[in-house]
Amino acid sequence: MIVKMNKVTILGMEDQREALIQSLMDIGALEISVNDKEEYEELANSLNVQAEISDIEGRIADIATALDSLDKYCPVKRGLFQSRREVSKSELAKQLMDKDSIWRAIRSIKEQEENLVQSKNEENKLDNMIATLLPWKDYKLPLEVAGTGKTVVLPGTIPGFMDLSKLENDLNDNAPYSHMSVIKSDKDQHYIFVVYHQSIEQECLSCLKAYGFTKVSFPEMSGTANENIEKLQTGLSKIEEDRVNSIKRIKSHSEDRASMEALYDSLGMERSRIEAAGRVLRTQRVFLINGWIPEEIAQKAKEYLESTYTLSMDVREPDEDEEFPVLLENRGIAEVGEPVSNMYSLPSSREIDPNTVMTPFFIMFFGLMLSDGGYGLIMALAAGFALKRFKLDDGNRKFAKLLFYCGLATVFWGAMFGSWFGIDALTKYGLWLNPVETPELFLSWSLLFGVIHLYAGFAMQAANLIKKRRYLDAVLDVVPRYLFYTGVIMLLLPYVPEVNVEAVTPLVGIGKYLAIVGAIAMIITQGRRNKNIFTKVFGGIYSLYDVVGFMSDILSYSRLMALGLATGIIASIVNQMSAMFDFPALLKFILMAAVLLVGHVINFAINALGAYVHSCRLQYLEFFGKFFTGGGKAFEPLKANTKYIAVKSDGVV
Amino acid sequence: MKFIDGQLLALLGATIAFLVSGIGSSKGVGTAGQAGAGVLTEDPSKFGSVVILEALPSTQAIYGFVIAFLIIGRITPDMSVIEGLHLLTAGIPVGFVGWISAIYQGKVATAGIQLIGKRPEALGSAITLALMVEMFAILSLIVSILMIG
Repeated sequence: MIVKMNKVTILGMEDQREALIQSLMDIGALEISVNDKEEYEELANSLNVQAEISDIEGRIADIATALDSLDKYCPVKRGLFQSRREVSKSELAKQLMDKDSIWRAIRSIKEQEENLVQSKNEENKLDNMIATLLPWKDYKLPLEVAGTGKTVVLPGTIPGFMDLSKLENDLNDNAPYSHMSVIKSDKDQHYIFVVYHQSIEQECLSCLKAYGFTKVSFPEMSGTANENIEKLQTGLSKIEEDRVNSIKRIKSHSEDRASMEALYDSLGMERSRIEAAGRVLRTQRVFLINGWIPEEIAQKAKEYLESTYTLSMDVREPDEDEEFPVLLENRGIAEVGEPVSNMYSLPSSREIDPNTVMTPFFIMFFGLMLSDGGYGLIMALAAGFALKRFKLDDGNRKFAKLLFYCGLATVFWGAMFGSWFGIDALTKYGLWLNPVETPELFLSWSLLFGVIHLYAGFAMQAANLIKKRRYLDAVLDVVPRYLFYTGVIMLLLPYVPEVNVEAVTPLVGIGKYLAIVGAIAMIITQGRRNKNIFTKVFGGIYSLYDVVGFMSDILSYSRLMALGLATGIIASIVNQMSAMFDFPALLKFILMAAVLLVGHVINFAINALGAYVHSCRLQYLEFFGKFFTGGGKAFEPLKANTKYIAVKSDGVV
Repeated sequence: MKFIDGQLLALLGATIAFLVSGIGSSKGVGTAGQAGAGVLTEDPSKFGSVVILEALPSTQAIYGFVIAFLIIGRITPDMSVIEGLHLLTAGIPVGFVGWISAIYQGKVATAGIQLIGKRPEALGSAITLALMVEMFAILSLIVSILMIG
């Protein structure tokens, strides 16, 4: 059901504005509309709050980073579904008394985080240096030594596939005043150094070059390689120490977590209030708020606000064709359909909320497509457990309830088909039909369910027209369709698989007349909006083609049969596979359990997902396509949208 | 010795049913998965929606699997060439329609993943678009099932 909204205009004194906005937030049921500033250009202005909002958002982001890093280094065990702490207003005020110390903690965490990033960089740098020095560990000369007065010392590498002894011979032959030593060889490279007299530099270098020699230099290093490595390693352990210290310091702020969360939420609320203030129109002394409030609490809110503040609050119903923000309020089974229909679109404020009619179809089709009682039972139990055990927020609760009902529907259809975890021995206890043995019969029934669903869609179209007081349209648009389509369906009955042709013969006769009457009614009525007589008739004849679309809509419901069949078949395949291993008893048992578990989990997951999205699709395209306008704007009242804490209000309205 | 007997033809039917649709699904899921990883680098919280869209083109392989299994279940050692040809024919719709539809569904799913990367609330539309392609695979599954009889 769509909650009826009233339009509100509040005219109050500017000096009470902030207090009033706080009160409105406590009430939490009034949406402040954005004002059309142009209309009041000369008379009034509104606050420019952009700078203030971005400042507050910066601070919120700071707290969020600090909380993230607390979560990283000293995680708190949270349940699967996090529920918010309840805090009274005075407790909240007490927690936020010493804001400075909270900000000190946040800044300190930020600093430590920066330190950690820096030391990570530093660590990488040192690690790289150690990696390059490590092959030179046995090089005994200090790294800065490049030679003596007359000699040159040249460390470098040559590729691993070069023959070192050949190089040594070449050097001996071509450059006699030289000496070569190998420090280390690995599979890629030889690490060597060469000492030669300056006078034979040319010969020596060209000889080395022929073997792919690359010079290695150690800039800004002194002492031997080994000494350097030791130095770097001391550096590394110091960095490690720093890191431990930083983390320890971050951890030391863990007791501030509660107040940081409170501050986060209170800043969030402040941001909402500032945003609201930005929408208010004001002059020097007075301000004007336009907005929407649910009808049922409008009067109470008016009494309370007018008695507390100096203001005038005008409440009136919206105009006949004025759109208002949409708030859905459903109970029982209709409520659980909201996650499904909201994923498509909110209904427009002037049509009937489709959830009441849609939800039973959704649940039934889901059950038909998952169609295994065992899977349904597990799903219903899991969802039921989540509902009982956890304190879920509104959206999650509705979704869990939806899954619970879907699970029950699956159990129902599982019992009808005798499908329990695909166990073949149980299929004969099915109450209705066996889909695997008689797929044609199942297909016929699936199409029939589709016809019922589509007819419900037409009925919704009529109901919407009646709601808009277009009674004539409701009759003329819907009744001819029912007549014509029903006639066509009856004519086609003998072609439906598994139908007893003789039994339906009289129906075919009726169908012929029904189709003719319906077709004439369609031709007469469907072109009535066109201007001249020719387009009227043409429009009427053209509308007969809709029957093609209708038939393809019906065939779309064959997916009920296809997906329903797939679950059972794959489940029974899993069972057969698990018994296929021919091993000693214990091993066989373990393998069997593993195959059963993995197979059924995968089959359940993929088919439950399939059942969900295909059931959605049948609602969105086939069902909603018949009547749904959608495009409603959600009702977004000014209220405390918090993440960690729930402030208990004093309950004025 | 006969080179072709009924059993071999029927097995060929099962092969076509699974092999061809399986190739399509691998390709479709693969393309969608790559796009999904891209979106997740920006916003890891979209994992749930991305997985749903990525999984959609996998159904064709499942349909192929079902048909392959049904065909294998009907094979008897002394079946005639005609019976074998019958089952071979039954494997073709689900195989080939599954192949092409999985690839194109993968492309639609990829586009859908990019769509929810920008507008997370459009998940419903993204799924619906991808399911339009699925329809043909479902019809081919039904045709194959009815042909096996």
